Amino acid sequence: MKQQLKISLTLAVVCAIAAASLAAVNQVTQKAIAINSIKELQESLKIVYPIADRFELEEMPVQEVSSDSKSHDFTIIDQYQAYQGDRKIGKVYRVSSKGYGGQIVLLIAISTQTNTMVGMRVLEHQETPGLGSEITSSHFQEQFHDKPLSDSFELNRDIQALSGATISSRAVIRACQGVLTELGKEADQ
Amino acid sequence: MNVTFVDLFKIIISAAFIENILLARYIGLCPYIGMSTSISNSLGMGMAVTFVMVLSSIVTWSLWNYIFIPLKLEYLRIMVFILVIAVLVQLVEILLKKNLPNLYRAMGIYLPLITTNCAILAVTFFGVDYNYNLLQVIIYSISVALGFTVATVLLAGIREKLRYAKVPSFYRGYPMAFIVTALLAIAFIGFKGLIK
Amino acid sequence: MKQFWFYFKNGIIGENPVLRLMIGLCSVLAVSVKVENCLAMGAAVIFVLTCSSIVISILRKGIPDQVRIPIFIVVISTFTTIVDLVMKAYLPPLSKAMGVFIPLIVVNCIIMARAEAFASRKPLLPSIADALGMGIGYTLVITAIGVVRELFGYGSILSIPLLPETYQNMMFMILPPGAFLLIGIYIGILNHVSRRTSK
Repeated sequence: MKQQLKISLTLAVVCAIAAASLAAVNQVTQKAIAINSIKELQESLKIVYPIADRFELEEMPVQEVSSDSKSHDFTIIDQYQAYQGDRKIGKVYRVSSKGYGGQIVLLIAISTQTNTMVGMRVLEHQETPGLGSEITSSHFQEQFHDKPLSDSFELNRDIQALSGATISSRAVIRACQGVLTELGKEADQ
Repeated sequence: MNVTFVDLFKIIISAAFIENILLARYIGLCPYIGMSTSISNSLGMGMAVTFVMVLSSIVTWSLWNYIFIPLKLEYLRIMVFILVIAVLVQLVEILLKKNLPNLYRAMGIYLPLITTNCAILAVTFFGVDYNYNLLQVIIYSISVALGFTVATVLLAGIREKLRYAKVPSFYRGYPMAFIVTALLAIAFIGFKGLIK
Repeated sequence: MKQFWFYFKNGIIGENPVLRLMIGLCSVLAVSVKVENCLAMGAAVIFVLTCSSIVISILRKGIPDQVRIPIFIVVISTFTTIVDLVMKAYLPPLSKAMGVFIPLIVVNCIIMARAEAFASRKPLLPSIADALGMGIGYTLVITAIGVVRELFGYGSILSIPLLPETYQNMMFMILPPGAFLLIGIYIGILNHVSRRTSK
C-alpha cells in the first residue's frame, strides 16, 4: 500500500508542477499570440489594399450558419470596410475557397469608388508546391490588380490559369465570383 | 449538419491514400521502418495501431470538446493527449500478453514504441483541428490507420523479396528500405487526381 | 571532463540518432524543405532534449520504476508545450511553417529513447553531454538534408538564391519521394564510411 501511495503521489506532484508551469507560460504568451494574429491580418489587409489607411470589421449580412465551413466550396469568413481618412473607399473580403489540397484562404479587395478589384492576396493554402502554390506568385496575382468588376472572370478567357494547376486557379476564380455575387446582393439591399 | 456519405467517402480516400500519413505526410516513420521487415509483423503492428489510433482519437476528441474548450485548457493539449495514448497502449499491451502471446513477443520493443508513434498523436491533433464531428473522427482515424497498414505491408512485402536480391553492401537494410519507400511515395502521388 | 566529450561526440557520430539509431525520422524529413526550418527545428529539439534530460537526471533516484514512462512523458511534454507557445507568440511565421511538427517533438523518439536509456540512469553532467551531442547530431543531419532539398528544390539556401534564375526547381526534392531517397543515400554513405574507417 505504501508503495502504491508513493507512486501515485510522485506522479501527482510531477503533473501538478508541470501543469502549473505551463499555465504560467500560457499566461505570458497568450497576449503575444493574440496580438500576432491581429497584426498579421492588418498587415495583409494593408498589402492587398495599399491606399487605404485603416480597416474596420463589418457586421456581416445575415447568412446561413454552417458549422462545417471547411468542406464548403466558398465561404465568406469576414469582411472589412476600407477607409481613407473618414471616407469609405472600398471593402476587403476574407474568403475561403476549396482548392486542390484543402481550403484556400484569401483576401479580395474591392474599390467601391472605381468599381474595380484592387487586388487579391492568398493567406493560407495547401496546394502542391511548385504547381498550385504558384497562386501566391506575383505573375498570377497581377491578373487581379485593378481589374474592372465588369470583366467576366472566366478561366482561360479572362484569367489565365496556372499550368498544371487548373483546380487551384479555379478555386481563386470561384472566390472572386463569390465576392462579386455578394457585392451584388449588398447593392440590392 | 449534413454530412453525406460522399463526404465520408472523401475522408476515407484522402486519409488512406491521397494524403497517406506515411508516404505523403512523413508521420509515423520510425515504427514503419522498424516493423516492415516481415508481412506478419506489419499486419500485427497495423492492427495494434488501428486499435490505439481509433480509441485515442475518440477519447481525446471528447476530452477536447467537453473539457478543454469549456475550461480554456488548450495549452495542456500536448501533455494530456499523449498521456491518454500512453494509457491506451498499456491496455493493448496487457491484452496482447494475455491473449496473443506470440504476437506480443514478435512485437518486442515496438509495442511500447507505439506510444511514441507520431502518427497516433498527430491524428488526435488533426481530429480536433479539422473541426470534425465524432463520426468523422472515427472514420478519419480508421482510414489513416488503414493507409498506414497498407503502406507498411507493401514495404514489408518488398523487403521480404529484397533479401534475395543483390543489393550493394552499404545499401543493404535501412538505406534500401528508404529508397523503396521513395518509390512507393511516388506511386501514391498518383492518387492525387482521385478527388476533385 | 574527458567523459563529457566522449558522450558529446557519441551523440554526433558514433550513435548519431538519425543515421545510426534510426530515431526521430518523421521530423527530419518533414521539416527539411528549407534550411531555416531545419535550424529552428534543431534548436527546438536541443532545447527540449537538454531540459528534459536535466530534469529527469536530477529526479532519477526519486522516480518509481512503474510510473517512469508517464513521468518522462509529462516532463517532455511540458518543455515541448513551452517551445510551442513561445514560438507561436514570438516567431509566428516559423511556427506556421513547422506546423504540427513542433507539438510532435514530444513523441520524437530521440527524446524518449535518451530519457529511458541515458538520463534516467546517469548523473547530471554526462546526461547534459549526451543530450547536447544527440541534439547537435540530429541538427547536423536534418540540415544536411535541408541544404540539398532547398538547393535543388528552390535554388536557394536560407532563402538566399544561389542558382541562376533559369534553374527549374526540382519538384522531386521538395516532395516526399526526394526526402526518402536522400536519407536512404545518406545512411548508405555513412555505412560505407564507417565500414571503411573501422577496417
